Amino acid sequence: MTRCDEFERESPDLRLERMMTQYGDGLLRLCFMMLSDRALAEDAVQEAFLRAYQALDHFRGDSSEYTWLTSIALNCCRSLRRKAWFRRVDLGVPLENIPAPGNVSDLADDTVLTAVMHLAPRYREPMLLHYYQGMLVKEIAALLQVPESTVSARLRRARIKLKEDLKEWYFDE
Amino acid sequence: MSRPFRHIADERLADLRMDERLKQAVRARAAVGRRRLVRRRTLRLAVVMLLLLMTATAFALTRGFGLFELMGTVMPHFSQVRPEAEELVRRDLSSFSFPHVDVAVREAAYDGRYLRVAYSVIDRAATAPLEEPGTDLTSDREEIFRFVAAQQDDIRWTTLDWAEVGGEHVNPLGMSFSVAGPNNGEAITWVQFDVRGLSLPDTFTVRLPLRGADTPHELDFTMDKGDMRHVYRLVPPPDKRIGNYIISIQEVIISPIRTYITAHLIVDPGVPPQKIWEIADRWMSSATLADEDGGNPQRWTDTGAGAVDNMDWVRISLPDGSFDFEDRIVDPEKPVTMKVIPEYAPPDVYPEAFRFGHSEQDFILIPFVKLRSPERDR
Repeated sequence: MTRCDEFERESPDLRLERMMTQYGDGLLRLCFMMLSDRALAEDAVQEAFLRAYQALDHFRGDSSEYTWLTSIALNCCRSLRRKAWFRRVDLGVPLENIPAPGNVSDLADDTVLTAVMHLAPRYREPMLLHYYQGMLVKEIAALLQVPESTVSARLRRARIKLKEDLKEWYFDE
Repeated sequence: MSRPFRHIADERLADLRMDERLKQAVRARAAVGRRRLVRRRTLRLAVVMLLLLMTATAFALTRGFGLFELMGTVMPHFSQVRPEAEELVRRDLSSFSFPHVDVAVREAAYDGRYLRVAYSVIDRAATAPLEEPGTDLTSDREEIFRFVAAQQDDIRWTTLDWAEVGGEHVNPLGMSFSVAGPNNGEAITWVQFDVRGLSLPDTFTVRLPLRGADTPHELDFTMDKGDMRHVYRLVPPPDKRIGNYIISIQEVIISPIRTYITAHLIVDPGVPPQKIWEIADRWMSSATLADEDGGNPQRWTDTGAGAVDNMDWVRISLPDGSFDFEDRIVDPEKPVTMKVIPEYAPPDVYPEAFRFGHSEQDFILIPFVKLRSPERDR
């Protein structure tokens, strides 16, 4: 049974509910790390699920549902980032205004996230897709429409950039 | 000691959740979409056809894929510029051959506000155009367009996300797109970079993030500003009170490519945030720039608005334990300042005074009196 066969048994509404429950938190956090702004991230994740819902008929199962949704969310983030006003006035809620949980571990302070979120988009995107979404270099290359060597090079450069900021913490290969 | 990045991010961002409020927003929008599906499809088709016809007409008339003709890809009137805009255009600035593709910066124009660039990437092995010339390769497509030759050379053929202009890092701003060019295997990309505030010499270097897998550095080129006599500011008029707010024109830049306006709306204390945004929205979305008598309105091409003083966007906790965000006035005793930044396609003839406004009552006159060139003014 293919993934498409499984999904065809779900009504579009049920599938939307399942996708929001299954992937919603992760995609919202991904969008936040892409946009550095809570309100924009919420806009992006809403738009992503809406676009996915409207395109359910076109999803052919060539990639995993997770990769497909990530691709849509990434495009929504890019669209928002490109909107004129995004760069003109900072209206957003940045990381320091997101409440940290009471039992947060020492390593989960803002150092790591801030360093990643300050990477240029061309480094941040593959970094988050690989280390947060758990996607393979091959999958990222297909999603970003660049060769695998480019993804690997960007990940390598990103790690070098992060190394200076994160002396006590590093990304595993 | 190391832990997976995902664990750390999830732990730190635990407060960010796809909660019921967000899910309900998606459900509501999805439900609206279902009800309007048929009507929207019909309407959209009509609009798209109109745009295609008008775009095709523009291409047929100009028979070109120059910087300004390409702007009409988004909306036909976006390509409207004054004749002297041509004096700002610099052509055939740089080219490089990679194993599979040739890259050429065909045209660029600097007008003090933006650096606009059009560059082409050509698959040398192609025997036909990538698509019907003028077809948008990146937007509203059923399937992603894959430019295999460019990917083989590691060339970013779609929009660019940064540049260095005169040694300064700049970002793209506003629209960007890629279309099929008239030559075999050709994609042409148009992008504009925000260069406001840069103090550039007459001749400056631009570095675009176009590089192949084995090339030592990004594609560089040098260009001069061109004839900047036609780029200048107007003297801002005195502030004008309109009801419970004052409009203060901060800057009017006349360029043969666009007319750029920056205005502050200083709203009296006591006006609630919702009303403040209604005021700003009207100036952002509905204001026209016309002759003194309201005739010959210039067409809107871009806009934006936001609070710049005394109003923040803050998180609030709700009684049920969830949260939301709202605008909050910092000091209720002081006015709130909003900023609006519309841009307009230039007119054929500049009037003696502009009428900038959105209704019979809500407008301000801007006499056409030159200040100084933005360049000399810096």
